[in-house]
Amino acid sequence: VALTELQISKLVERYIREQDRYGKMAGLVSRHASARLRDDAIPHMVTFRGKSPESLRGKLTRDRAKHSFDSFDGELTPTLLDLAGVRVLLYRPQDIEPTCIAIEEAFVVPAEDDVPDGKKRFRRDHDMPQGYRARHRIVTLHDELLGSDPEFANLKPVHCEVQVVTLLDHIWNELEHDIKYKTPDGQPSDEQGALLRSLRREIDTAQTTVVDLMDATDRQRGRNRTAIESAQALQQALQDRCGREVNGDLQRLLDLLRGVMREVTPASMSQLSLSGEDLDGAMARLRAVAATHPDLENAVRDDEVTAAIAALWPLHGRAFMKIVKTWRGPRSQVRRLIESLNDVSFQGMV
Amino acid sequence: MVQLRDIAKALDEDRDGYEYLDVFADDIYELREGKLSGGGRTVRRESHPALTIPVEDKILLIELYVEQGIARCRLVSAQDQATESSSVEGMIPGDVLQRLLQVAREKKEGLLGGLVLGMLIGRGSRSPVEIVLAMQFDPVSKRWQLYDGPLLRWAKQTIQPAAGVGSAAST
Repeated sequence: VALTELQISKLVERYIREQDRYGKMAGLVSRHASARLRDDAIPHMVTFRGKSPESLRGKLTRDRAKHSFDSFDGELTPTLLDLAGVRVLLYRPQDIEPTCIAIEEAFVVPAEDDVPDGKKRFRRDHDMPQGYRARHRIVTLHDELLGSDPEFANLKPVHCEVQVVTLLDHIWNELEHDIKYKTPDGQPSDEQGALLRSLRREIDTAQTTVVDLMDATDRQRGRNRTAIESAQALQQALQDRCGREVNGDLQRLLDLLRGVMREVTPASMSQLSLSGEDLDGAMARLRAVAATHPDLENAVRDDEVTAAIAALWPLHGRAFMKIVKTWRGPRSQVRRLIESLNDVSFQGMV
Repeated sequence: MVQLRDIAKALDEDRDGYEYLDVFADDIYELREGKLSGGGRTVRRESHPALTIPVEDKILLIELYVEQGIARCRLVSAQDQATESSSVEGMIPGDVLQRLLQVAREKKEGLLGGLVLGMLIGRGSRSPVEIVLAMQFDPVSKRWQLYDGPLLRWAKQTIQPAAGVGSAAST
C-alpha cells in the first residue's frame, strides 16, 4: 500500500528527531574514508551530509508506491539507505576501482549474494556511456571502530551511502539530477538532451586532459626529487632555475652543494637564491667589491658558477670555507674565489 | 664514542653558524652507558622526550628522536633552562633509552664500524634553507672534522630526526 501524506509526515518527523545521528555517521565515514585514501595516495575530495528533511519528504513522495509504512517499523534504515551520505570526488577514472576497494576494506558493505531480481542495494555500479556515472556503496561501521568510542554506540544500525565519482562526472550528474528531479515530468527537453550529450563528450575529452596533466605533474615531481649526481645534471637544473645558459666549474659547485645540503635535487635547489635576478645581483656586488681587491679580482670569472657562489655566500660562506679546506690537489678557481671572498669578508661588504 | 663535552665544544665553536648537532644516540657515551650526570631535567615535547643537562660550564638540550635513533643536541642558556615551564627533575625512562639505542644500532645497518658521524645543522636568519654539514668525530684529537666520505649521502638521509622538525625544535 502506497504511503499516505500523513505517513510521510510521520516518517519525516521521526527522521528530524534522529537527524543528528545520520549527520554524525556521515561525518565519521567521510573522515575515515579520506584518511584511508590519503594513506593510499589517491587524490580526492570528500563531502558529506545528513539528508535534509525536505529532501526526504520529496524522495518519499516520489517513491511513495515503493514503500509500505510497515517496512519502517523500528529504524528508518535499512529501508532508506542514503540518509547519511558521503561523496568521494576523484580526479582520475583509474582511481575509482582502488577507491571502492579501499572503502570496502575500511567499512562493512553488507553481503547480498542472492538478490532475487538482480538489483543489488549495497553495491551499485553506474557506468552508462551517455548517462549517470558513479559507484555507490552502502556501508556500516566495523565493530572495532564502533567500540573505539562510546559516542559511536548509536551508529551500529546506521547505514551510509558512499558515492564514488570523478569530479567531471559529478558535474554531469548534478546537471542531469536537476532536470530529473526538479522539472515537472523529470524528462529533458530536446534541447537539454542535446546539451547533455554535448557536455558528456566534452567531459570525456577533459577527463583525458586531466589524466595527462596529472601524469605529467607526477613525472615532473619525480624529476624534482631525483638527486643531482653529475655536473651535467646540475647544469640542467641550474639552467632551469635561472632561465639562462650556465657555465663554469659545475663539478666544484656540485661538491659545495653536496656538502651543505641534505640532498641536491631540483626541488631542494629551488629553495636557494639562484634565480637569474639573484645571480645578476650577486655578480654586480662581487664586481664592485673585487674592484678594490686584486686577489678577488683575479679569482672572479664571468660565469654563472661564480655568480652562484657569490649569491649563496651570505648563507653558506662559512660552510664553503670548511669544505674547500678539505680539497686536495691544485687550488682551483672556485677554491681561490671562496678563499678570497672569505679574506675580504664578502658578506659584510654587501 | 663521543662524550657530551665534545658535542658541547663543537656547538660552542660553531655557535654563529650552526644550531644543532645530530648524532646517532648510541654514539654518545653518556647515553649508551647510562652515565648522565646529575642536574639533568626532562623536558616535555609533544612528540619526543628531551632533557637539559649541564656539561661543564654549558647546558645542552638533548632531544631524543626514538624512532630515528637520533639525539639532537644544542646549547641553551641557563635562562632558557630556567624558563622551561614544563621541565622536571629526573632522567628519561630506561625503556625509552633502551629503545632509542636499539633503533640507533639498527639504523646504522652495520655500515659505520667505529666511525662517529654527526650533522651540524644551521639555518640562515632570513632563510628557511637548512645547512647540513656532515662531520666526523676523531677520537684521538677529540675534534670534529668535515666528513666527505662514501657514506655522505646515506648519512645525510639517515642522521636526521624527521622531516621538518628543525623549526619546531626551538625552546
